[in-house]
Amino acid sequence: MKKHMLAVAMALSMLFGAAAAGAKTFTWTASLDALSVDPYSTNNSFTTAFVNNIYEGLARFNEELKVEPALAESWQTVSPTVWRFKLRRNVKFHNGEPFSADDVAFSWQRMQSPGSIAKLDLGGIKDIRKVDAYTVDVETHAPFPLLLNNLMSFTIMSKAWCEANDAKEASDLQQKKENFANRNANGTGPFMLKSREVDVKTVLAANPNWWDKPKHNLTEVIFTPIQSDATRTASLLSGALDATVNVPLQDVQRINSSGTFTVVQGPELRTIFFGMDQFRDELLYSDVKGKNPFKDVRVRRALYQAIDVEAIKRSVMRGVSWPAGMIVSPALNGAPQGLNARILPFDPEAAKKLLAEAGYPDGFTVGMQCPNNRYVYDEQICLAVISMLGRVGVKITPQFEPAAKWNVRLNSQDISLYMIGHAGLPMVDAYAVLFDTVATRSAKAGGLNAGRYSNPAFDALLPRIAAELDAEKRRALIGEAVAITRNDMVYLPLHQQPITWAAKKGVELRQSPDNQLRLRLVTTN
Amino acid sequence: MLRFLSTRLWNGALVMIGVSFISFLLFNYIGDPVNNLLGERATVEQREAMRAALGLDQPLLLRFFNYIGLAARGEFGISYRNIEPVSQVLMSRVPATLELSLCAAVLALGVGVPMGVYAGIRRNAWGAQLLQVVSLIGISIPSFLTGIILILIFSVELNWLPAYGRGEIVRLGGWTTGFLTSTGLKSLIMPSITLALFQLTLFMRLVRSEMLEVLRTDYIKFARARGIVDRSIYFHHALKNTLVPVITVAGLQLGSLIAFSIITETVFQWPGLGLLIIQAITFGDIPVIAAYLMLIALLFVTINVVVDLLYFRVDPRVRIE
Repeated sequence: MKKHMLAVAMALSMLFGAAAAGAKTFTWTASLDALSVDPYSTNNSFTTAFVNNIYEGLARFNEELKVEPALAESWQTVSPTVWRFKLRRNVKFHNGEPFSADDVAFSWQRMQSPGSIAKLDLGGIKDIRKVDAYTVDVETHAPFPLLLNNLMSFTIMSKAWCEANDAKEASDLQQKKENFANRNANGTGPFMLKSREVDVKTVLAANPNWWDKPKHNLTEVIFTPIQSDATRTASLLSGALDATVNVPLQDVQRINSSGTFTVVQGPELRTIFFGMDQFRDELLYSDVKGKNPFKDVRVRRALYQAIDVEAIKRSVMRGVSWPAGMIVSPALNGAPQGLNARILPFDPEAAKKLLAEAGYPDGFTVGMQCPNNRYVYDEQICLAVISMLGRVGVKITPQFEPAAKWNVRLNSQDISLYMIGHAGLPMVDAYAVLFDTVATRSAKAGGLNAGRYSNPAFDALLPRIAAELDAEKRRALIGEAVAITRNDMVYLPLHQQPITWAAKKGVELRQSPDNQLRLRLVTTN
Repeated sequence: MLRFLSTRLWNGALVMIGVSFISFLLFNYIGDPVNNLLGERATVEQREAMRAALGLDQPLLLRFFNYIGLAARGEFGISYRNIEPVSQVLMSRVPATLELSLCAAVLALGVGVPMGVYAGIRRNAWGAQLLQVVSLIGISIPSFLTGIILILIFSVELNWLPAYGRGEIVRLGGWTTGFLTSTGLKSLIMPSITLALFQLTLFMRLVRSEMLEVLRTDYIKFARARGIVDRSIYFHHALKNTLVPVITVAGLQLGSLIAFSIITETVFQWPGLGLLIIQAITFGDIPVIAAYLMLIALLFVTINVVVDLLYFRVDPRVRIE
């Protein structure tokens, strides 16, 4: 019966395929819709990735996440803090208007408007000025070796279009009306926004006048978000979709055995690790009173040796994770690849001994804070770790919550032993991971350092890394910083989690480790 | 009559205020929208600035009164997730939910009532026994399971029906409808069945037991003794008398079809209010959640007032004071 239906379906699709020769529609899904198509209204990573198919920046990432020219043809540094960009000529916005330096200067002004949220990632840039019609200067507050990576977060909008449509400022939650740019777009990118029904369907058409030679062969792209995991996989298998991102790991085998679809998997830049409260004199959720066991590096080592990352890979992650020895992915820019080996072996006996030396021969009880909808198999990993720690005498009180609640805990340091991850995005660089999770927590730094580890020697390295223009020296400095986190057991690294996508056979998605689908690289037969 | 109505309306207003206050208290427990707005990487300083800009740093009571004041003027704010006015977001989702609920209600009544009548009349026939068993299954299978099973059979295996969405829709002024296209109608089938299944079995069981009750009464016996044909007894005399409780329950069930279609809408990615509220809760989209809860409270208050008025009309005893 099934084979019969399949034959009919194939015959039909061949019939229609022949009728619509040349027109290639690519239908794909993800678990949620882009929040907006106004590129400045959010720094939600899925939204940014989606909108980057429509809008472009001065530079862009290629398949290997290396910087390559986009709207700027070339650049040079004029002084340590001023970069000059030569803009590409003969670029047109989707509505036919020509692109020039005025649009870049205007976009920078729009980026500064009160509603803009993307500007939070651009704090290193002081000003962007027009020099002549095809030249702009970018001035930074301090020497900024990562400026090009940073400029990925700055996409260019049309001055004339924004002014004509009363969208001179970014979408703003304080305003009482909707911004025109929230559901309409006019970029320079490879795809044009044809229609948008929020949460239902967004249709893009290939830009026939794009300045670059397209690597994709699509004429139309239809995006329909599907929230439920089971429905997403079922819809793919029913043939209604060409591709899906966010495939649940339990569906991988089913999809691969279908014969018509294949799963594409690779390591994400995101590293998953456990953090510990290393600040309080007494832990919030523990039976140890009057002192904090996590302040003792022997206890942190014991936990490290009690966790079997290979077993997590085998029995929780279904064989697809990349065990880590440091909190930055080795694929990130500037990452010291040599430091990714596990620093201590898995050894429960050694762990028990360390605990006894530290004064906890019978172990202790502590609360574990885990999200249950944030990372791949987050809750399952935590459950596995609970049983591993139980074997060395550390008893866990689980506190598993949805990400929205778990975030509140992280922000208010309402934690003892907690799971967290970091991908080094949007700059695809190791520095952000160290700056966010290890730097001493203050109003401007260490925003994700919920365990409040603080080390002046580490903090002193950060400004040097930030300003170092020589790539090799910079890598060495980052290596020094990472070595501190390893020796001090600031975190207990687990692994890089997998990105799991699936597509019809014959569709090439060109997955890259930042988990962003770049439609300009997709081909279908 | 007028006094009755005004008391009802006054009670309704109190319920609305109560619901909105309780929903406000709940916002302390759903998590922090600031994180979803700014991303996890934002610094402490940036988070504080955003919290202040949205007024989330003010005391709860103050926020509540501000909200009520604005809501009374019809201003529900801007959705944090969609960055468009909340009323616009809600209105764009209402047609999908109402069309689905309507189909489910028609299905539940149109199939459930005849099945109940049959099971009541021929309660010892094997068909009626079978219906009893089937209805037990229908009442105990959770709707997400029904939905997924339907998808696996009719979308994945047979490829007859679409697994998600509303299909092609047609715009009629401010309304969108799936009734006018073939893909729209096809898309309605599985979600309607999933949503209707529980109510369908509920109506069947309700009508069955009411029928059994009525068929035992004296006037049915007299009717039989008079030699009136069975058909007339069952459908003219018996069924009519079972319908009074059925109508009452049907009214309230319609309310819950609209309000609690969350699971069905999530399984089928049906772009209605249920899916919206699930996404809003995940995101911490407080303005949308608050307005949604108010809307649902209003719906139930209205249904209750209408049902009370129907009683007033149907039952003469209520009118004697």
